[in-house]
Amino acid sequence: MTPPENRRPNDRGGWPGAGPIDRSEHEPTFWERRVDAMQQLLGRKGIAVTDENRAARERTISLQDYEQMRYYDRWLIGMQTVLVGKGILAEGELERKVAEMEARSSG
Amino acid sequence: MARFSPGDRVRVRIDNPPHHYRTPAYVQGKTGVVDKLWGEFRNPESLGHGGDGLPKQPLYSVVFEQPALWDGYPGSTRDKLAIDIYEHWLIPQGA
Repeated sequence: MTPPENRRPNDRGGWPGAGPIDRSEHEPTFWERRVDAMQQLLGRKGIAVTDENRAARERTISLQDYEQMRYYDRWLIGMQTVLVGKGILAEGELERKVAEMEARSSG
Repeated sequence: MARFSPGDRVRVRIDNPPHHYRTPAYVQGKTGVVDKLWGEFRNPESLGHGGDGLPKQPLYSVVFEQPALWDGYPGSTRDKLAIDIYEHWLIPQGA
């Protein structure tokens, strides 16, 4: 699937061959609620507004990744990008922490 | 001050700026009618990149005929789309 006129993956409506919209619904999972809450907190604490997170996920995620990711996966990438950009998280800090926790839980 | 009033015909600018924007491609270049003014809000195209979003931009609900937006639209010819668009994307088209 190719976006027309070099549109970014988020500017989605009307791409040819997209097929019908998946209208199935589900109750938000605990993980989804946490990701949502994290973004709300960043806004309330004056660290990053919603538009910054949106801008970050639009410019950071490749078309292929964007199509495959779940909705809140994209939110996480957006927040991570903004926080690294502001120097609040160091480059690779999240990945190191995840590796550390995985090692702990498997050990 | 808001430039447009309910009932005004407007065309949406065609643009694909490198920054964050909230005017989808599928309404760009299309003509609709202003339905209401929601108020003035900080500009997300500035907020998205660490700016203060000022000056605030009037935000309108603009109504389009669905068959004018989609080639081969299969629904009713009376179907409409109402979408929120910031003033700096709108070009006056006369009454």
